[in-house]
Amino acid sequence: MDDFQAGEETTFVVDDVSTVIKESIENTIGGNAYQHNKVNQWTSNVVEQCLNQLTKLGRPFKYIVTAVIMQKNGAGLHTASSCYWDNSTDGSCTLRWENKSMYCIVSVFGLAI
Amino acid sequence: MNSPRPFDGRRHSIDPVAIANMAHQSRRTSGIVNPLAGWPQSRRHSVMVPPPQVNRRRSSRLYQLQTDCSTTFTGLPLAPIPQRIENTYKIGPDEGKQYKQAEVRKAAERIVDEVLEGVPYMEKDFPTEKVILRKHRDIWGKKVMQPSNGGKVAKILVEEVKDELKKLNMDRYKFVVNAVVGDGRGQGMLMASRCLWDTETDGHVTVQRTTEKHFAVVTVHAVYYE
Repeated sequence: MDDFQAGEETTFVVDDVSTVIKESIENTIGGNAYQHNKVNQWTSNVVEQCLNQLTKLGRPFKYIVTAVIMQKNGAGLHTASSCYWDNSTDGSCTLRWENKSMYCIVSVFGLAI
Repeated sequence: MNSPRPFDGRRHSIDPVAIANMAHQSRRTSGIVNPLAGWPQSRRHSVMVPPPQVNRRRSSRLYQLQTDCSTTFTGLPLAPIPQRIENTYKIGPDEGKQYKQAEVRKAAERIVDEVLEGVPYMEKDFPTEKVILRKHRDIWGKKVMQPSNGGKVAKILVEEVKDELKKLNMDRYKFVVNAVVGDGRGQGMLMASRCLWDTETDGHVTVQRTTEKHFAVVTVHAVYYE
């Protein structure tokens, strides 16, 4: 009879991914204040680091990583996402991080191949 | 199994047979919150066997077990076994079913414009009568304690774009649609995304709309399922 697929993880594990995201945000913009001229580089770095760490996990997934960095101004922000995928194998993880001068929202979507 | 034992007042373990008996009798089962909830949990049975139907006058709703008895010795259900699907030996999308960037962009832009026309992004006013919003009365009509309509707009945008994408005849493609809606009060903001995928079969589209006071950004990522 077929067993569970013990060796290879073929479902999206949210906890591992969320630690990866947290680390990459802290390493890139950990103690900084919002600076308009640097924010371009920061978002790229956050996203690239996330993606690099995710590939190192070595799982059979395609990844989509999006990051939003927004200055704290009293303005409101809403995000939503809708996905057409296979519920049993695919998943997403969204992390919201903030410091005194900015918000950072990173979402990772993992789609099984 | 013989005739069921009467409930003897011990509440630290649950005996489904006794519960079924007591369900319509005295109130001594007050320690058990909901005996008819989902799965019966019992430590006294090594195999879940439904009691004999002979002298059962109670409803057998408690025993909603699968016929192949897929429960462990604690009575809790086994995790579902993942199905193995046969190999299709395909290495790319079929003719006519590939990712078409232009079509996806046109569809996304059309839907975003349709939804945002006449919709107040963040104020509490009600929108003008739009056909597309009548479908989403359950989202729009909710009286939730929210200071703004931005969240509802984002949800509707995302659902509508996803439904439109499904009509584009791109089999074996998975879609991820993201919407960001907010106030534009002079703050700085940057959105970035990076993907680990196959550049020949997958792609993305971004649609941005701004007014004097608000902005909306919708991104669509399409990924081929190998």
